[in-house]
Amino acid sequence: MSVTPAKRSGGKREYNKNQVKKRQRVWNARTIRAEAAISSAKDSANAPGDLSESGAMLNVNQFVNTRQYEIKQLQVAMHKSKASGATRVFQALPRKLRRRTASHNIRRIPKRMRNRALREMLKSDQKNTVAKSTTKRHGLNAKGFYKAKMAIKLLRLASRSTTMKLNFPEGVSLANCKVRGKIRSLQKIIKDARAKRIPDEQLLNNKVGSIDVSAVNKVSPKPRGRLKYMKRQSEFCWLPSHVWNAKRSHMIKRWGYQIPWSATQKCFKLVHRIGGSGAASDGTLSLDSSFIGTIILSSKQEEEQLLSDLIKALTNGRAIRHKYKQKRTAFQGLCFDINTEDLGVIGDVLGMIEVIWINNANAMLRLHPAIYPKILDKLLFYSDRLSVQDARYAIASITLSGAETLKTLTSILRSTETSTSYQQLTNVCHVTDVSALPSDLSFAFNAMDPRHLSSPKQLNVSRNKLDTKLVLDQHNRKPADDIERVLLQLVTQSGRTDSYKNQQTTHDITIRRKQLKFSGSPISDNGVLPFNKGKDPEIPLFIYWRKESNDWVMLMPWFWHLHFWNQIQRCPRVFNIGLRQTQQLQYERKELYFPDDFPFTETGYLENTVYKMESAKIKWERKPISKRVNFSKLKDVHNVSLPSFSGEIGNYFSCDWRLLQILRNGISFLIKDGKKLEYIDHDRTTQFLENGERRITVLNDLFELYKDFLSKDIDLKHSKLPVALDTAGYNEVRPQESIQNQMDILNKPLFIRAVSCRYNDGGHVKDNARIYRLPLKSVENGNVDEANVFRANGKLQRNISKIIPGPEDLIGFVTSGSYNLQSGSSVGNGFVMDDGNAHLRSHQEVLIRNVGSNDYRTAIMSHIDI
Amino acid sequence: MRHEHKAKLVRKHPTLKQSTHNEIKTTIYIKSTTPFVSAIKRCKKFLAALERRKQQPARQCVTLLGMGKAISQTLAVACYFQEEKGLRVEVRTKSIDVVDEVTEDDDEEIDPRDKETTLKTRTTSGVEVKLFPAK
Repeated sequence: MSVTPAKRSGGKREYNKNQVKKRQRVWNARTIRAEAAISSAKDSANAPGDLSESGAMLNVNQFVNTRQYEIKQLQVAMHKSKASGATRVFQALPRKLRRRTASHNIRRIPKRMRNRALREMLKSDQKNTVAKSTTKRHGLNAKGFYKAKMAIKLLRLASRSTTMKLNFPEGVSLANCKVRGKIRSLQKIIKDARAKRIPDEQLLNNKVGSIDVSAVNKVSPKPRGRLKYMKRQSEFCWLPSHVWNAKRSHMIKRWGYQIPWSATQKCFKLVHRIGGSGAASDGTLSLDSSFIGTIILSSKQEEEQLLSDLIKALTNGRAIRHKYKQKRTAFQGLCFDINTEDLGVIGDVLGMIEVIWINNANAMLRLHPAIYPKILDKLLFYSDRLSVQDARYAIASITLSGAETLKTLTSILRSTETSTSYQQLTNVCHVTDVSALPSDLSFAFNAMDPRHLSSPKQLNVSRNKLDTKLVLDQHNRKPADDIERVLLQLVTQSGRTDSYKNQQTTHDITIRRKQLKFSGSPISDNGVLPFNKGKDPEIPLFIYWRKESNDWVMLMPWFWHLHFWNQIQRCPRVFNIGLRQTQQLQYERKELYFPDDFPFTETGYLENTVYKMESAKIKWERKPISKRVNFSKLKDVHNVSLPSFSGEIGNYFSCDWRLLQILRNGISFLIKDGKKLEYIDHDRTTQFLENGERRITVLNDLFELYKDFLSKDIDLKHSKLPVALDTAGYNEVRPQESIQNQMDILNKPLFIRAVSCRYNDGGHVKDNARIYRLPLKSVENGNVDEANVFRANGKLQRNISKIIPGPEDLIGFVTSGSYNLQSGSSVGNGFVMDDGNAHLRSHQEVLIRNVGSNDYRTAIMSHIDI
Repeated sequence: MRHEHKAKLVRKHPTLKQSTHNEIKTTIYIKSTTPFVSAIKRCKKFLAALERRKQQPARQCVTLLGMGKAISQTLAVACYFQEEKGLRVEVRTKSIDVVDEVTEDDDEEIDPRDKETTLKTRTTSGVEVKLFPAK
């Protein structure tokens, strides 16, 4: 079918050639073909009709079969119409590559599509945003400096030489050129530029400005970054991939860094599919984890014992075991505070730590930035005996997870020399489930600049090569010496500085590639630029598997990070993630995420009670009164109502650990010596002891004490944190704490243990949900069994409303709760009070209630091993 | 399972998987705990998606893999498609090498995570079922 352009009559504009084409395309796409006659109508006498015999029912099968052609045509037309609607080239891009304002800004469109995009813009007379001037605003570069010097010389010569004067254009003379003024201003520019020059000892060994920013036995200065962006990173340091991530992630400013918080695009299911351990994973998730700080401890031979003692104190004796120290397996576990007076005393838990032993005299510590300054400060106390290197701005890292991680890595990494470790990496490059390999996997080798590859290229390794024998070899024949040699290059300042030697600009690499291409070399444009030993930089890389987190970490010098990052992002099915996705992955594996799930540490407690609480409160206050949940007026929350509080228990916006501590310690105090727990005393009002303390005899007094604590500044002698984690060694049973007097209620921290609660039935658990034990009365009366009646469809009979616990049944809080795609149900990870025999109490049934609701759900609680 | 004296099994490693993107989208691993109906639904979904795969549809099939205790479950799924759906089904028996992580450290004071382990190979039987889509 054709479309004839409208004639220039009646005021209608004539279509140009392109418009005609477009109209034609749209017309064709929208045309739906139909059969001339319905086939069933042809032989209606013999064939059964569309309607049933009685004529009351439509015979669907018959009806659809007769109209099969039309239905297919309708579907085809829908598809065609969708494609024909795309008039601009960028509309065909996948979601991942779409950028905002791509319609008028040519630089937002991939290079390969730019020519076509320009043509499209010209057609519609659209204005194009052109590149801004590339003139530098700050200082002089080498070219400018040379030009200024030459200008002075020429001007001086011009003022002296008669020949040159005669050659001046007509009307130009020295008098009207202000030569002296010009010379003066040029001299000033040169003087200023010289003043900014870096002293000779710090001269760079490359022209891109890469320098090792680290310090030994003192705190390292922050990297200054490019002059133009220096001011905005003075407080919060940019990660190497900041500019890349800022375009594709929501960034947060925390702990002295600007960190990708979450990818801009929706990725909840994608992260579960790719990052999970299932066999369906077919991609890679990448996170710039350079914000995790690195400390390198080095000792002389006589001080090796001190190094070992320090790491023993930091990890409660775990990281010095043979598996980690001698076998060099990366350690990941809890980090404890160091008591500088006595290293034998175990301090408070601070967070998580990774320890990598390089040899007996050198170890690398990796720490979360929230606890990094504190640990560094403690370690600097030993700086006269040990070398403590602050390398947080010198060693960068990329964290990768997903089935295709090894394939991605091997397609961008090339070793500069024959390396056994690299060979081992290539052997396992096709493995999609890393848990089939030994858990102490690590690789270290000198890699060449990743830009030597014009694009990522998979290694030609046969799949048939790998078998269980090779897996055993990975474990038994680990090239420890090779790994140690490369790691020493990575952790020393000189080693990292050497890696920057002759670091080339991307422009240099392109020129080199072009020269090779036109020199008749067999290396084509897509080939790998050959490595020139001695001239090209060699980059020490360390790649290790973290069993606990189920991911890979690649460590490299800070200024090489971006090149590796860019190359990784060019691999197929690689997605960027942020902290939020890391939290999701850990939550799905029923693991704790630092700092949100660490209320027993100072950082985690502040995160919960200050940072997250304040933001939730502000959000609630912003709502109009009619839309807010009125927490204090909630009905039927507990089976008794106490005069000291109404509605929701504890703080509405956080897990109220202080309340839990007062409640549990207080109940222990009240039922001491076999006394019965009473809710209220009808015969008396509040009473105080002679020393001004509140007299505690019933449960209601405990809530009054809690209110006293919030309103008054009560001095806490023993511990500022209300809760603590049981850090007794494996297989040790902690002795039961006894609350002897009223002072102990506030002073003794409550021991808690990590649990994961899975809902038995529907419902959606949220953060800060309250965990209750099943009330004793209900258990005795058999209400619990009644509540667990299953319907014929296998679902739980929901008459749980019969069981409403009392405030004395509160045993814990959910720190992170959501829908867990891995288990296919609502799961809340949290903490409950620890009554000493944690190992015996797995798979216990509990009740969970979200904040601001009076709906209780049953859940099965299981222990989380930290 | 027999191990040398004192050696204690810590963890059974999964089988070595070196799947391509195409294999990931056409292979289903059946566990002994996989519900029968869920397995059937997944197979149907994969069979329906076979046409979209880049390689020639004629060569394409959905592969089910089951090992040890899951063999009967895998064959049950295969029988369903053969008998009820009339699909062409190919069954192959297999011997699969797997790796076990064992420890000889019997010190009860040490956290099991910190114990040193060694690897041992073991061979187990398995079955591979290929489901060919109806023509």
